[in-house]
Amino acid sequence: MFFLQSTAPSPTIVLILGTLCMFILVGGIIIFMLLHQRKVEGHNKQIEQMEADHQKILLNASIRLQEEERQRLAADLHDDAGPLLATARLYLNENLINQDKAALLQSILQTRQIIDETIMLVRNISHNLMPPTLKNFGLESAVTDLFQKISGSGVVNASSRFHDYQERMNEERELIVFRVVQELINNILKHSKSSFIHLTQNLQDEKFFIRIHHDGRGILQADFDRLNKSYDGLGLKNISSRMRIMQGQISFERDISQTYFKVTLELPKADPNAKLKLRSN
Amino acid sequence: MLLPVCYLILFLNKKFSIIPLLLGVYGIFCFLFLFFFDAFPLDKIKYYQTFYTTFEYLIFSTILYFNIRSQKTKKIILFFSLLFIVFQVIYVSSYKILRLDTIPIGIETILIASYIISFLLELLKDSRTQFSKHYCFWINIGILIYLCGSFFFYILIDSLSREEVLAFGKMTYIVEIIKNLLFGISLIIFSKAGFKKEVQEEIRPAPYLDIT
Repeated sequence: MFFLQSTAPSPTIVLILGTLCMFILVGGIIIFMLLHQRKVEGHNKQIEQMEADHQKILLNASIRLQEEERQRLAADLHDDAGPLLATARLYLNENLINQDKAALLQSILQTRQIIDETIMLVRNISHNLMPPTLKNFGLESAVTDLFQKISGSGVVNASSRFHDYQERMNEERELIVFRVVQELINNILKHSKSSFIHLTQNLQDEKFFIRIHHDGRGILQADFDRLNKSYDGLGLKNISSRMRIMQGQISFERDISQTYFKVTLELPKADPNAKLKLRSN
Repeated sequence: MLLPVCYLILFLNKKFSIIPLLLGVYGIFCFLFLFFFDAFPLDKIKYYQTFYTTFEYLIFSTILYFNIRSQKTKKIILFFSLLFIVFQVIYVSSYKILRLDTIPIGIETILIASYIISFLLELLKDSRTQFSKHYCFWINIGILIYLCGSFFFYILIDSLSREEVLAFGKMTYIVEIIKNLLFGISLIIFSKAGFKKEVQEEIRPAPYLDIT
């Protein structure tokens, strides 16, 4: 009743209160926006810091891997090529002293055999650095070759199928993809105890996909992320770095049937770094 | 005084864009409107006021149209702008205006404030934009302060006495000054940063991989 009896507020009061409320509202909006921006900036800084830390871990991993590779190369040359060449030198020295023709011939043949072995060894080392199949015939042939070799062992049934690979990627990208596949297969062979590995390649929405299925013990995305942030899992960090170079993504999951483990590599079809390279040239 | 100085800075920097241009047109129009307001015949003043409200609405909505990225919101702006123009034609031809065209001003304020809020929400969603350094943010805040600060005055103007109109009318000058100051600040920000910032190529640092 009181409200019914009371008179309507005067327009002046409505005007003052309304305008005041409007000012408070607008002021609130501005303060909220500015505070929100500050919060977002803080959050972005935090993300940048985390990214930098992760980058540092990846960099350390790649340096460690590079050092390991150099050590392996040095060991291959020192332990295998070194003794072979020393033996060949020994035979040649003996030829200088030994005047017997039959012994000389025997010695030359042995020297030639040793040199052949050394050539084979050097070739193997160089093939490890850059597989000739990959260079000459492309990713599809190199992967098929790799899988045939694995199948040849009789322990694992490995097969690959490239659906949309009529046009080759550039050499650099092919090598990176091949190294990632090699590392993944290496991990599967080393840790998963699987009896079956299957690789498929296809294109979808301007994206290049490689999917690897295996029936062994695999890892899931959470494991990959954890290992990627830790100081272990050098190979996985290396995969991560390579995918980053190509601006691609990698995911680890179980397939729909929950029977197999699936690794998916997703890359942009066109080289995202090509523009930058062109610009830097 | 401030706007011409800002335009001089813009001119010296040789940077032109549609939004500062609209602000310029708006500034000149406001000046001319106020300058010739008293000279306009009283029986035709309602057309003058309606034209001013419509023009102001169109300038603000065009600025917002170019600011907002969402295509859906842009279509909504176009739709309501058309409705508003139709409404203005009907209003001016059918209704008697006492002091000011209060209803169109109220509708204009609600519509523009809604567009501004959707623009601010868009800014909030985009975590990359530092909106305090974005000149459009300050333009929109200026418009919002101006419209909201004068909203109740224009709505209630017919219910106020002459003395009250004169007293509270000064309040609209304050919000106008704030709006013009913010427009000036935004133009200075624009002249410093440029409208179309060149998008820097995102170069992701990647670890050096030699042999591996």
